[in-house]
Amino acid sequence: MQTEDLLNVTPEALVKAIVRRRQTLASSLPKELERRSEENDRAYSLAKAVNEKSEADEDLSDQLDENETFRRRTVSRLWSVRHAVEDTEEALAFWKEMEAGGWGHLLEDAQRVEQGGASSYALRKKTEVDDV
Amino acid sequence: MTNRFHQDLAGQPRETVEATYASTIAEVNRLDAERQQMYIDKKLRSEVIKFAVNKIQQPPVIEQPEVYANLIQAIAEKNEFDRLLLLRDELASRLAVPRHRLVQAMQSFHQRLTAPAQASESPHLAAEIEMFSRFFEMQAMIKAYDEHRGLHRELDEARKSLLETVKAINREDRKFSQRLTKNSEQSRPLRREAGRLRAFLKGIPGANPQPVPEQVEEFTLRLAAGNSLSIEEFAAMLEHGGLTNFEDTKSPTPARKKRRTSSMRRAEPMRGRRRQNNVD
Repeated sequence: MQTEDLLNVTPEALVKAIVRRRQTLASSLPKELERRSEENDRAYSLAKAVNEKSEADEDLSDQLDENETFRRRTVSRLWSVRHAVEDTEEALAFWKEMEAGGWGHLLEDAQRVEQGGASSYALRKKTEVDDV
Repeated sequence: MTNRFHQDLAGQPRETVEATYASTIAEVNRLDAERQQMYIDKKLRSEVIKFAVNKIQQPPVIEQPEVYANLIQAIAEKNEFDRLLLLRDELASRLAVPRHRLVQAMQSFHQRLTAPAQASESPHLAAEIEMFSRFFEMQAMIKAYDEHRGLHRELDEARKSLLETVKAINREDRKFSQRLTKNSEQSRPLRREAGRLRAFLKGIPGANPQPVPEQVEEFTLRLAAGNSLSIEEFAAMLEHGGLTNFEDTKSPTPARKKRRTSSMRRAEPMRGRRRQNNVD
């Protein structure tokens, strides 16, 4: 994107673009959640089966470790997707509220710069220098 | 009795020699006055150049602006350059991030906020809010840079113009140095001639020639301008005063540190012959 285009982006347009991206993501998440749940169930069954057998057969310890690692990984993936679902729901609610024009508080820094004030980067730099 | 230096004057009437002496002294005085003015001008030029290149903070006071138009111009250009420099520095410290970095960051933020991505790569809501806010702050920062787009060009032009004026003053200064040398060369034989005429007149009863003017004031000006003096010129200053009146602007040299001597007797072997009274 060229500088001129970036300078012409309005808050309304950006909020709409974010909502659109979030909706696309939200539509793909249930399928992803289902896939990760199935994967996790399969990993759990495998780990459980080998765990029961390993009590009688010590040679299965390597396989047990491998299955346990796989199970943990699937749990992690499943939680990531669940978090993404929650985050997307929250984000959609937030950005839809913003779509109605409530983004004012998000533009405080921009307004300060427009009025001739210091940017947040300059303020942070000044604070750092003052702290030293 | 007339010595060989005054043979040409011996046959002339006293009044004629006195008139020649008076006209020579007048010419010497004129050249001295001209030279003194040139030294003052030279110092003024030097001060203005120092101010223009930031070696001193305050410009010299110029009492006749119409005579020193180029010096006034240099001071005005330096003040304008300083004003633009201050504006540029204020803008840089107000925004803190260079324009090209802002453009890069805005492109990155816009991409992350709007381009479709996998759940694992999608930014969280908190990051989105932060990027949204930063994006529009950067937009305002770029607009602020663009409003002052002419500032850099103006600053560049002010710098070039000031350099040109300083160069012109420097060129003038070199011409002044040549004029000063020429003036000194003209004055030297005239002084010698005045001295010769005065010595002749002193030998005639009834004649009371005025003394040849000293150059002490000029030497002081030259010293103040940082120029060197010859041994003869120093001798003149010692004889007629001026050395003690000369104000040195530099801080006095600190007193030499006293060498610390140990109270212990040195017992190291020494070079040289043993003293006679130490021989048993």
